[in-house]
Amino acid sequence: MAHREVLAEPGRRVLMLGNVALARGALEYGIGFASAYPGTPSTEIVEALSYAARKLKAPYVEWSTNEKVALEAAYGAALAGVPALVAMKHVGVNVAADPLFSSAYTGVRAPLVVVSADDPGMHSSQNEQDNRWYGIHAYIPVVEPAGAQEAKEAMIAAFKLSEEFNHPVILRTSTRVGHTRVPVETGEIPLEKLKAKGKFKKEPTRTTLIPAHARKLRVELLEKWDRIAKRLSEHPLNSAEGPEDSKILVVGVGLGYRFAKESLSYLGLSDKVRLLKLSIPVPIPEELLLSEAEGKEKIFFVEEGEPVIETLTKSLFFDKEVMVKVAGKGNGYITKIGELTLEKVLPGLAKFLGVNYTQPDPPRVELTPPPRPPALCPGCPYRAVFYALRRALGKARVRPIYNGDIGCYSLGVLPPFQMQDTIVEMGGSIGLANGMSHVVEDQLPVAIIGDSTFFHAGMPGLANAVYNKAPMLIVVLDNRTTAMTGHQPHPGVGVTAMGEETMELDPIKVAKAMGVEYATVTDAFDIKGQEKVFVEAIEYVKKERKPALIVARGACILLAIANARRQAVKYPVYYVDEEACTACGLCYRAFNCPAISPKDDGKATIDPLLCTGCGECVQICPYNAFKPEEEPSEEWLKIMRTAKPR
Amino acid sequence: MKVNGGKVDVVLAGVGGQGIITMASVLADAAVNQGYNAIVAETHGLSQRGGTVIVHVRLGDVEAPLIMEGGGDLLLSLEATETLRYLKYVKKGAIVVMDMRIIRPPLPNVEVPQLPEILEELEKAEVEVYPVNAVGEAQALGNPRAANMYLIGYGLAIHGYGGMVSIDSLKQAIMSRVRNPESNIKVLLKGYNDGLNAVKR
Repeated sequence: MAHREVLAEPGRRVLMLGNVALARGALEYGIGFASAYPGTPSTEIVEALSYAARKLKAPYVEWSTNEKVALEAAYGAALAGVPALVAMKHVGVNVAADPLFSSAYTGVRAPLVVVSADDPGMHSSQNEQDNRWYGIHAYIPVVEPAGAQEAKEAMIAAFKLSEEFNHPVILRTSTRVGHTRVPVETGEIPLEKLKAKGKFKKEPTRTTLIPAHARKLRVELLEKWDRIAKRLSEHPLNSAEGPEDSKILVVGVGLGYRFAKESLSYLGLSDKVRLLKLSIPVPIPEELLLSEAEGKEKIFFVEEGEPVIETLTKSLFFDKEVMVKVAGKGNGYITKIGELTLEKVLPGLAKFLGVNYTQPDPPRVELTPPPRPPALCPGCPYRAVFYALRRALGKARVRPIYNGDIGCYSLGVLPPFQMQDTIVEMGGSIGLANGMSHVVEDQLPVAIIGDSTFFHAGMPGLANAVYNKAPMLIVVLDNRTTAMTGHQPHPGVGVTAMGEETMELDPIKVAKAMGVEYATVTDAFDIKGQEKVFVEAIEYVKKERKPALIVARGACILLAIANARRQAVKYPVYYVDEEACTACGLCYRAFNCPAISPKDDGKATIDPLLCTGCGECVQICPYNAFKPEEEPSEEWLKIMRTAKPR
Repeated sequence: MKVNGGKVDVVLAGVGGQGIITMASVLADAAVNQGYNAIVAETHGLSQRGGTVIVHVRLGDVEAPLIMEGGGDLLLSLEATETLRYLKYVKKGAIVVMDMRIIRPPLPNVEVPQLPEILEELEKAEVEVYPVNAVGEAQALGNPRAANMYLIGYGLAIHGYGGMVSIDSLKQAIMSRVRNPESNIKVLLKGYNDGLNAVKR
């Protein structure tokens, strides 16, 4: 996605995705460096910056191999004097935690903003962690925009705060900030600043964290932390509105402010209750909280995620002997499960304030809609791989443990494949298989990992498997892109975030260099061919008790179609030969292509609008009932195997 | 930014890949073009292809990104069974414009309600239902992917979006955002006219 609006001319009011507004904020501040590993809901920030970099030839932008590397790269740029942004999803910060903590000790020479995009509600994640805890844990201030409406301004404020204290700053968003569109007023982009070069000044007592240095820096860090807290009590992004003499204070933290404000308006209390907006809540602005608490009887917190600021405020009030009732998520007035909604905030707020409120009663229907989980796309090469892999495992008579990973192939957990027994985190497939392979007897650990995920966190696990002689089958699903987050390039495809050509790292060569003896590539679209290779690899693992690795290569079909369109290459559409079809149901039950569905008589039919011309159905039908409207061209067959992102 | 104390909450529903995010952007852009506020909350990522999709479009004096359950003024649905799933986001008496097409989820052995029972159920549900053939009408005008514009036009005729969106501001939004703007505008106008006729009836 291009996100052209990130470069909208100054002085306009433009509808923008929150993430694009964040990118615009970084450009208006004048960053010289941006890095990220893609992850929902953070991806569009650096995607938009990558678009800007191609148009403006600045700032420098990269997709890094993982979040740790991304953060280190941005940290390095900031140490060398260039303002830097790094973005990642919440669980990415776990990967990047090591350099994050150190960055607080060393501080930075030019501003460094670390974006953590949290995903309460788990729209696209494995957990609901609240990364404001990282700010508290690592002594790094946290900026939390009050909705997409404040995204651009908050990003600029984050950079200015980082600049003021020579200290890294976390900017925490959540799904409903990053993936919400609002009108944004555009300002000037300082082009010269985007292009500015840095210079690293040597000061080892600050930038080498040997114990002797780190001990001194810790003292400095704690002193700085207090100064930052004082500053945040006066920061314009932390401000109160409504009657000062009210006995009630509602604190809206970040996005929580929007829900708090609308809830008060809904209850008709806007002009009766004091409302404090905290958009830079960490470290908690003690003086501001204490002065706002004066004369109050009740304080209610609305925050996205955990009751972080509520808990810290309670501790502050205890220390200062402030006697006031405090409520929110900490004591069950709002549930901690899922993301904030008005229907969660309103009843809790009304109950705490003792005002009447009944939830609106929506229209009801008895009829249940069918389940509609996300599915592998029609033409996805992974469907063919799963199909062939299952047959091969059956033929080789082994009982597999399918260790899955993070990517589109996670969908293999659903019927009809159900070929993911564990999915825990990036790189977890090879990681868990490492342990299992040494303790199971009559089962074979299989690790299923995507190409981008292999470069992200699969390689250390693979080195471990070779070193410790772990018998496992590793299947690298190589669809030539980071597909699930929207087709970003990665080290295997030969193109950078700035659109420049670069070296293609080949997972096979990587595996061989690491000492994997059985490492081979297969055509992901060729079901019978790869089935044979899988059987051979399984036999190797059984016999040699060592890891074997197969790269199943075939482009994400959506990427292939996009490439084909650009090159004016047509892809064929397949149809069902009614005479040949016996209504066996293999294609729509066991293979389950979404473009194929049963008619009333049980015979298959293909929706031509959904068919992507992959030809996989031709290979699985025992009766040769699938036929192309026209024979697929050589060009198309090549694009299916070699397409790559721009 | 114009503030008139008014707000309109529009729930958009359908299946991933039907162009629901584009639909939301066009509707919101049109309001922004006329100087009003708009907030669009989307879902990206894992729920994309073939999954169920809801997008919240809030126009006017609103703060929070999500429409409250029982709070929406309109539901524009590109798929009939998805109407059932997201009906709880509108208030009683709300307007429901729904494409009558049913898209079978690609799951083996799944039961899918049929159109007559869906219509019967919606009749009982204290909402004002307008079943339409948006995909068919869009296809007849040469662009089946513009069914989303048909629903926006139909919704404008039936509800008016509080005066914050007009045919002109929608056209302007389509011109700046959508591939093949001409055919999309044709379908928008067809939806609008069909909506007007439905009102007269």
